[in-house]
Amino acid sequence: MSSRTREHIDGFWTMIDEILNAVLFLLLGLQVFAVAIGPGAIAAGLLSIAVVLIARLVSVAVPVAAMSVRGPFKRGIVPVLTWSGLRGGLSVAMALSLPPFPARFLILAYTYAVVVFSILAQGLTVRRLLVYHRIADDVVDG
Amino acid sequence: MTGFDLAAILLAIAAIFGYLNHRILRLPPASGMLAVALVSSLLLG
Repeated sequence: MSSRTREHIDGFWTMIDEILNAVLFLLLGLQVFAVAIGPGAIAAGLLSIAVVLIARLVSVAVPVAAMSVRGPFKRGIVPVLTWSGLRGGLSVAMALSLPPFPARFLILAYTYAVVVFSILAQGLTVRRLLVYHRIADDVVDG
Repeated sequence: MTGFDLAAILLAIAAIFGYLNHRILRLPPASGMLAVALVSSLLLG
């Protein structure tokens, strides 16, 4: 494969990748119709966001604490790794593939709330957290 | 509606929403697409 061919194939698949990614997140946003929104679902969603964040904190803090005996980690590694646990379309797809049973709408509401919170709240603020803990430089990457 | 129609509709909506995000919201592409789709769904629904 010549370098020119490689360049064109790379450009082609990058383009396809970007388009499919845009459609994936579009579908994720339109999927809100599948979630029965009500006071119960919103409360369940908020609770599940808290539960998932605490579970993530534990699952990060315990290995970090265990491995700290071999030498210290960078400061702020636990909050950064906790907050940067972003979730995508796969969790929602798995929740949607459940067969109909009574708790299906609840599972869907939990999952959807966690995914949307992780993409919109965590995804848009994680850079500031990295800069605050001096793990990334304050550069804008577009 | 055929699968072809569906793909065409989704691509067109993705293009419109992506443009809106690029011009108005200026969020990163994936988050912006999700935000525009979510807000417009809630407004319509």
